[in-house]
Order: sequence, then structure tokens, then C-alpha cells
Amino acid sequence: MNNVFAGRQKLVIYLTMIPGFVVFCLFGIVPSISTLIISFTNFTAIPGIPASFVGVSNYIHIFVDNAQGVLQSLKDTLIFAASVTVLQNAIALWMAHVLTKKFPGVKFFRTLVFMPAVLGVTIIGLMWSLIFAPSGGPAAGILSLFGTSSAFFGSSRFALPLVIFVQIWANLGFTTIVYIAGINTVPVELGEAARIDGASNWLNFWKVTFPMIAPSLTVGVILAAAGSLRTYDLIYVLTDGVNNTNTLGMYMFNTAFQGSSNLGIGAGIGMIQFVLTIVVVLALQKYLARREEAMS
Amino acid sequence: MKPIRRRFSHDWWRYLFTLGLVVIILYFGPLVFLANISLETESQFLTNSMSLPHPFSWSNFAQAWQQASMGEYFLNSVLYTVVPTVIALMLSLFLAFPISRQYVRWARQLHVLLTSGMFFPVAVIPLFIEARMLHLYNNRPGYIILHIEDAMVFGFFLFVGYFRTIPRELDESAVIDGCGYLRYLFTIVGPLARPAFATMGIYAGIQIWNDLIGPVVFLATPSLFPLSRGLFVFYGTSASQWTLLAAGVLIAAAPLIIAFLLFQRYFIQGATAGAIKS
Repeated sequence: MNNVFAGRQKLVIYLTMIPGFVVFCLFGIVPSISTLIISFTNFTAIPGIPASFVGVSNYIHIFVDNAQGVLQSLKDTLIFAASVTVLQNAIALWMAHVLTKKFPGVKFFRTLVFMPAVLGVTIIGLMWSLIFAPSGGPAAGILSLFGTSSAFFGSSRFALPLVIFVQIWANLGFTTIVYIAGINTVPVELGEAARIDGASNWLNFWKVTFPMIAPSLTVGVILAAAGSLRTYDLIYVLTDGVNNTNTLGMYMFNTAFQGSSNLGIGAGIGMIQFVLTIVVVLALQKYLARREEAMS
Repeated sequence: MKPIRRRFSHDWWRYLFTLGLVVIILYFGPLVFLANISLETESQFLTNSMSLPHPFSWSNFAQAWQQASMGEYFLNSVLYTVVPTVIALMLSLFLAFPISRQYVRWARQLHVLLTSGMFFPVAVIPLFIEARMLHLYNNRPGYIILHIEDAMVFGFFLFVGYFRTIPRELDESAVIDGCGYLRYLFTIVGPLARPAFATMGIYAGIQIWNDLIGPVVFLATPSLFPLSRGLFVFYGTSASQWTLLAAGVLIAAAPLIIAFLLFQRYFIQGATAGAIKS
């Protein structure tokens, strides 16, 4: 298409685009391709130590020397991601189903469920750490009524389920919005007709609404899966990866920036996480797309 | 035939009861607990944190504010949020307008490339090495520069779509009237695109404000920390002073909750647009 701006003005257009483009190359393209390169080096976070290429030795370290660590991390990641994806979508579906009805306070409830999205991981993490404080916290108080106690985030049995709970709590509103948008595209008349024909509310939802929001399900599931396979900031606040909560993201971060500060090995773990995420997301996408076709 | 439009849905009280109860307990409950704890004394928290505070220990707030040096962190957060968001907004405007209008060569390819930026893998390790090489590590200008890209790519994605709603004829008449490109962008396009700017600014701004990994990786000197990390450090050092921590968390949450209530519409728009992002 031809440009209505000519001569000097055209030059201005190009000149003003340069800074943004430089920023994009420098902090977008370069870092995203160099994780792979760094995974073949022995970079450390400690300044002043020269780095060199070490071939695949970081991967040998990850998979052979420290196989236990990566296996445990894979297990934690899969449990975390699968639980979050399934539960978050199931609960959000129910929430959206109810929140698209008309009843007093519905707007207030929508706002409340969405609020964590704005609070950020530090506030959310510290708030739940407080509630699950092993001595004196409200949750401990409730347990003591039953004559029992728990270390919560400090317990190897409960830390992961609790982390999963907080992760879902924080992102539920977002997934719910996706489903609300989907349900709003379903014509109201359809549900009304089914209801007059005597379909129960539950049947109505499964037989009428649910098949019609197949595209929303695809979006909701993919986003939750990709997000939960990559995230680690909330886990960092809650447990810092101890007690079976060492997901690949957490493992990568702690390897790279804590203790030995080995950026090369960290980048290797980052690549494993990246490949896992891509494989899972592509598989889900294929499956859900086929399901969408079958539904329509 | 039954009337189709009613004020409330069939069985509305059941929805109100089930969902209302769940949401109030899980989403309002924690905040109420937090407020309750923040007003208790240390000894009261340890004996019975669930009871109402008696006497009200308002001093927790002042003490948390001081002990966690929240004032200092707060100013850092404002600086770190406002400056990169405004710069990113400008840069993405400069990129998005000519590309959406195809006023430049390779517009289509550039569009695909910049949009794909939203899907790039998280690359905190290479960014750390780059930050050190480019002297962006552990200083305010560096920290600001490192936060531009993410917000800019998001803004680009949002603006390209929005600019399509502004008719091309407007560009033509501006040129005929002798209006230069920059003046046109700032005095005509800018005001027209205000809703898109608001969505981008509020959504991207809150992402930066809440970033915790960024300050952990790119900053080392405590006086440079934003509130997100400052609060986390306070959690580490105030070990088991839970009442102070509760007060600190509430102080940090208050401006976010207020911003959310004021700009909810923009924030939800941003989140839906960013759906494809995260």
C-alpha cells in the first residue's frame, strides 16, 4: 500500500521505529535464542570468571551425574501442571456457568475472583504463607480444633498440594473470564428452549452450553498448561522449591541464581522445560482442535 | 409461554448461596484474616489469631512501614513502573502505526516477527548475562531498560489491532492539511487511541509493578529494590513477626486493590488480550 506521508516525513517514520526495533532485537530475539547456546557453556553468575564452550557436559551433568534431581523435578512439574490445568479449568467452568446467571451480587463476585490477578506473586505468596503459618496461623488454629497440626508449606506431604491450591486460587479469575466470554456467545434462547423441554440445569449445561464453548475450552486448557509448566515465581515465594515443589522452572532458577550459580546447567534445565512445554502444548492443541471439529 | 427476560435467573438463590459462599470464604476470607492479624499484637496472634484484635494494635502499620522501609521501596516501584511503561508505550506506538498502515517496507513480515515476540520463551538467564555485559545490572536505568521490551511487545500487539479502527482517510486529510507525521501521531492518533493506551498502560504497568523475579535477578543493592522484593526481604528478616508482615502485605496490597477497582475494565481487557500472551 502506498504511503500518504512522503519525503522527509517518510524518513521520520523509519527513524522513530529504530529504538523500538533495537530494544526488540536486544531484549527479545537475542535472549530467546541464546538459552540454547548458554546451555553449552560453563557461564556462572559469579563475575570475573571467563566462560567457554563445554559441549554437552551440562546435559551429562543433568541427566547422568544428577539424574535423581531432574527426575524428581520432572515428577513435581507434571503433578503440578496436570493438577493445576485440570482443576483450574473445571472450577473456572463451574464459576463461569454460575457467574453468567443473573442474581444479586454477581458483579461483586466476578470482581472478587479476578482480584488476585492484580495482587502479584509477592502479596499472594506472603498472604497464604501467613494463613498457613505453622504456629498461630488461622489454618493451624482450625487444625488444632481437631487436635492435629501440620507444617503446611514445610511438610513434604502437603507442600505440593498447597502450592497447587494457591496457584489455582491466583489464576482462577483469569480462566473464568475466558469461559464467561465463551458462554456469552451461546444464544440464550437455546438454554431457555432446553429448559422448557424439561432439561435440568445440569443436563442443560453439559448438553447445550459445554459443546458450544469448545473453542474456549481449548484456550483455557492451553493457557493453563503452558502457564503452569513455565511458572515458578509463586513457588519461589511459597517454598523456594523444597518439599517436592521443585518444578523445572524452580530448578532452573535455583541452579542458575542460587548456590553454585551455574548459568550453563541452569540454561540446560531451561531447555528441558522449554521442550517439555512445547511438546505438551502441541499435543494438547492437536487433541483439542480435533475435539472442536467433532463438536461442531 | 413463560417470559424469557426476568430480572434474576431461575433458581437464582441457589447460585447466590453456593457460589457466593465459596467466593466469600476463599476470596474475601483471606483478606479479612489478613486485616484481623494486622491489628493484633504479637502475643495475641500466637495464642488465638482467629479472635478479634483486642486491643487494636494500629502501631503495626507504622512499624511495618518503617521497619520494611516501604516508603523507599514504594518510590522505586513507582519509578520502575511509570518510566518503562511510558517509554514502551511510545516505542510501540512508533512501531505499530506505520506497520498496521503498511507505510513501511516489509510491514507484513515485521508484524509477524513482532507479534511472535509475545511467544518467545522466558529467557531470564541470557538476560542476566546481557544485563551484566551492557552494564544494566544492579542500577536503576538498567532495570528500567530491561523492562521495556515485554511491555512494548504487548503494546504493539494491542495497538496494531486498534489502529485498524482509525480510518485511513484521516491520514490523507492530515497530509493534505500539511500536518507532519509526528504531530499527526501525537495530536490526532494519540487521543483517538486513548482506550488502547489505557489498557496497555494499566495492564503492562501492573505486570512490572508485581515482577518479583526481575528484581531478584537484576538487582543486588537493597536501596534499589522495588516494593515486590522489598516486601519479600522483609518476610525473610522479620521471621515470625507475623502481625507486622500482615500489616506490610496490606499496605502493599491497598494501592493495587484501589487501582483494580478504579480501572477494572481496562485491566480485564488487557488480560483478555494478553490471554494469547502468557
